[in-house]
Amino acid sequence: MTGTKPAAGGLLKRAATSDSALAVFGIVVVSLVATAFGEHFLSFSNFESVVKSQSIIAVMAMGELLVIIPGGIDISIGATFGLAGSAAALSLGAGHSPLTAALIALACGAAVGLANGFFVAKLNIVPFIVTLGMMGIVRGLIFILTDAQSIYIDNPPFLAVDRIVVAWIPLPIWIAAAACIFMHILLSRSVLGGRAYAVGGDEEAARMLGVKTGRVKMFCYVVSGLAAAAAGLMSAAKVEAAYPRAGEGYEFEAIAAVIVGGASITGGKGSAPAAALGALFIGILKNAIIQMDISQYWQQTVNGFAVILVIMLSALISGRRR
Amino acid sequence: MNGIRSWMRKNADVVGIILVMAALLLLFSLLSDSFFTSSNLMRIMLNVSAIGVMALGECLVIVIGGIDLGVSSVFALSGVTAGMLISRAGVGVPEAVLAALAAGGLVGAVNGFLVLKTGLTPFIATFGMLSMIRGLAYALSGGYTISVYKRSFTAIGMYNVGDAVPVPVIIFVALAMVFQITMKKTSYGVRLYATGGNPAAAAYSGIRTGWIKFSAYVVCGVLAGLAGIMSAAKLGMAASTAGMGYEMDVITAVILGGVSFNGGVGSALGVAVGAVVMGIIRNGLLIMNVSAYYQTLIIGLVILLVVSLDAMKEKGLAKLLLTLRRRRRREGSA
Amino acid sequence: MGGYFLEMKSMVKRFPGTLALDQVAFNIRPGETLGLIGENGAGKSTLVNILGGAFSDYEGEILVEGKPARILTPTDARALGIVGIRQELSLFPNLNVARNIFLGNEPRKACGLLLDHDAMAREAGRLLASFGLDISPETPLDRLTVAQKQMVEIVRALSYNAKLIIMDEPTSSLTEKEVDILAGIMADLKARGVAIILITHKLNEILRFCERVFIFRDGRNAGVLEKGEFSRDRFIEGMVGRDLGAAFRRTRREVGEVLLEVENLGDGFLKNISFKVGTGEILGLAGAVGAGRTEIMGALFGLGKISYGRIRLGGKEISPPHPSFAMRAGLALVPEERKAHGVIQGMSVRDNLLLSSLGNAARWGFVRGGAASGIVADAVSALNIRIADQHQAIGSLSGGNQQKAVLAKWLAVKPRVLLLDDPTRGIDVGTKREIYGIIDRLANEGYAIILSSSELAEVLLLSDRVLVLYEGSVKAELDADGLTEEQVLALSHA
Repeated sequence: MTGTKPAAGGLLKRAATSDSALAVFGIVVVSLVATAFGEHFLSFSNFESVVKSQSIIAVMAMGELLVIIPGGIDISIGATFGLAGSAAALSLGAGHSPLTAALIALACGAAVGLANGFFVAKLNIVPFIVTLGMMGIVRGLIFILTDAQSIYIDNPPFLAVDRIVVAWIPLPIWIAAAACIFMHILLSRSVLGGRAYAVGGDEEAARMLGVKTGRVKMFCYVVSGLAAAAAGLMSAAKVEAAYPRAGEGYEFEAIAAVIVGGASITGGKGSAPAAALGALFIGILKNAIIQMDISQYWQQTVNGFAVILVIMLSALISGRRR
Repeated sequence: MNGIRSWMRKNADVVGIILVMAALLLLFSLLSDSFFTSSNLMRIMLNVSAIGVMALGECLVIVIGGIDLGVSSVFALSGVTAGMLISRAGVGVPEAVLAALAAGGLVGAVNGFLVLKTGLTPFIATFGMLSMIRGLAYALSGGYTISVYKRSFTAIGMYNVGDAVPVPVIIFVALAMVFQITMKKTSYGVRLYATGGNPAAAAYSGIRTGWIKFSAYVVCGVLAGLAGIMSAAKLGMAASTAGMGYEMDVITAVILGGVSFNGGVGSALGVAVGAVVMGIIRNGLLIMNVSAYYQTLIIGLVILLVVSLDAMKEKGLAKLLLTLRRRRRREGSA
Repeated sequence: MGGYFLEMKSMVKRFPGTLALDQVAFNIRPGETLGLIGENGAGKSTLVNILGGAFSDYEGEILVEGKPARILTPTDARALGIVGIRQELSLFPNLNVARNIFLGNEPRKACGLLLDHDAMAREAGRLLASFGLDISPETPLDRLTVAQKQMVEIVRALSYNAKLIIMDEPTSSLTEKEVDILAGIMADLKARGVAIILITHKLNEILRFCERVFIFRDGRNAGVLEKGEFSRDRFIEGMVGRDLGAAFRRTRREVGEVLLEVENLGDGFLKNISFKVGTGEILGLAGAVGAGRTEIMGALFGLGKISYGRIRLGGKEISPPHPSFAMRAGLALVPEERKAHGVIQGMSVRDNLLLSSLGNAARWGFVRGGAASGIVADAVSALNIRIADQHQAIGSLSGGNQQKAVLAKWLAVKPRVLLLDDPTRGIDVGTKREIYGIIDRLANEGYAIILSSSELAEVLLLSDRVLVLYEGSVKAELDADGLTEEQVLALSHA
């Protein structure tokens, strides 16, 4: 029997096949192209604004990642995102403190996640269907709660979330970084995180080994709801308002970030830093397309094409993904 | 009576949603006088026709075990294609419609290729196409709304046959029938269900499962294109933003219609009824002056209710079978 | 005699239509390495599946360390220290070695929330090293060889304090060198007092590793041999003699001209396979599990890539890239895995029967109700398939009737060569006899038939000629007349 010591050059190979490789590769290529063809791309302020605006998507992607690893999917996070913003705005309007408002919003997110988890884990319904139904329910709730009106927020402490700069870096970026570190520790260090991978790898085998797979999934959906709510709060602070349609379509951006970050949609694979890089890639791509003066008309096509290209490359590199 | 029972057994997956439809019709009729009128019922049918046509195509894809998230973009692309060809290029209406349908079919073919040849999962492949095709529609139209005045084109969406039945309704109902017959009565239908039910066993039986899957994606693309044409014709204009988010309505109709995401189970009839049920809910709430905000909420609830009942039915059935078997064994050993 | 770790008495397990275990007794001592042999269907897997907690509806008494025990779930089995190492390993390719070893049982810190990676790596490293395995605990599992994965699974079993490890054909995908390492591990386990049940078709492994052997036949005990009584002849003597064909006699027939010719065929696994089959002839494929029976059928039917060699059917060379081509060339396959490859469970009997002959049943693409019903009714009556209604789901039929339906599906296409891969697998005795009659009749009607079976007696009962396979190549080609099971087993079991 042979040992499995990494051979010379193994490090390079490992780096090339690691989860984040593709996102990094994509970021470098897009940046190079954008720098060559655009004027303003390579400026610190531009980069900072991209990172800051993507930090919201990155936070959502962290939750989505945790759901995708055990083989699920959550497409209700866009609606949860909107619900959190509206709930916070409403409670601020009712005179609650920013902290209370934020806690209420987060509780809403957790409740949505709990409901998703119940249907997926207890009734064994396909996650896509469950979260599709939940998306409708939550979006409907927002309309009912807000009467479909946008609510403007003028509570300075609340808005400060978007404006504070700590150590030269805006707070949202810190929040995204913290979410990423938290998720990384959860996935790589915690018992639950480890079991999430096992459920995604072979649910039946995990159950045979005594893993309570339903509880693992439930937890993942709750965290996903919390992450979406947190992102919704960040966004509400940024735009100084809660819009009833806020977050529509964000679920897909978060899923794209996770997949570009090397996760497998069929579960069992993925990492938090890579998903964060995936979110960054999508932000840089969008920004580069604008900076490169690509006709506005083609932007979306180029965007979709680049994302699908990166995902295909990752599928090819990681071997046949069945 | 016997005929009904045997039909119900053969179409067990449809019975549930038909009952839901009947209950909703009854409910809204009791609650409002203006609901159960022929003009209102026709309005419901007209409103769901485009989604319904798309859902029929989606039904094929989900029955073979795939999914197409990109239908709403194809919807926009085909409308824009037809609009551009007619209004800007002066192409004749029949040619333009054919070209738009072909565009839809081509997108479907690309989907099929991506799924079958690159190893991408259907979710990811069609998800990428969703934004790509939307962008393409945007680029083609230059971001402008294209007005189409040609009578022969707008007739597809507006003409009332016999002053009563709008063309889109006829298209939807006719296609639902064609699909139901194709799926239940033709050899293609049998191959389709076989491919979705157990792709390996289907291939072992000499069925070219790859081609069956490919065809489902192509047909789905063509139908999404047709829906786009119907809608553009109804409005007299085409825009690249048309149909945004429709993929969710389409998939909802398919789920309500009893199609299993695991493939191999479902029917066109069920999906058509599923689309109509969505229309009834929207229309009924509107008529009863329930705020429109409740629509999405109630449709979401109905989805979860229908699938939960289904899941519990299966669970309950399994439990029942188990106890029966135990009891028989106990009697046998006694 | 006391001191057994595990004792089973009067074990009975029924499957629909069959008695898989019939009053079986079994026992094993702590630290004993015990062989379990018997032909396929003898009841070995059923017994170990009971031990693994796969069934909750068996009868009989189980004593573990002298105390009565109920094993109803895998968790029960694990709690008693019984762990099975199956051929399809239950490991997680996406996790590293240490995590695989400790999954569900992780060393923790920080109030049990966090994994104690250091402890996990240390413990895993210690366990691996104690077996002399040079595997880093951090290695992702999918980088390991099959043999290494197997070792990991054994190590995992030990992390649960396993006292009895069941190894089901553990050497089937190991090289000779790897078998030596496994031997070392088995000796190690023995030294730790762990009992091992070894299921294998390689009799020399029994001779090499085991102290005692249980022989099963037809779901019953067929003898227990102590080390001193071991000999290949005695093993084979115990295994053979299944009573299959008491009521069945093969018809004598004239074999017609050669229809199918296979010349020097090979792929990644098969090596230089050559044979001929004539019309009205049944060629039997004999060989242990994994000897290449299914692979030959697959290669003929367009299921695998052929790297060299030629197939000629009726003088015309064919190389089907897909089953649909093989079908058009005149081949038909009744596959080994009925559930996975034979039937489409949710579909009706009628649609399943029509799957391959849709071309005949349809006009302009429409399935003609009358023609289809005719085809189905003919098939049902010709093969005596017992159904209530053409529209009932095929999954609701018994295994035997499902299998007849699979055969009927192919007969409707009117093929020339039938490939029957273990056609009576998991079927009750009555229906088995019926299927023997059908196969014999089909040969008389002029079909060329290739028959493979995991039950040797069946091959001998039905075939005109027998091809004995061993690890992907033909070991011998024998006339079935007067051929005995002993002769074949001696060739197929190294």
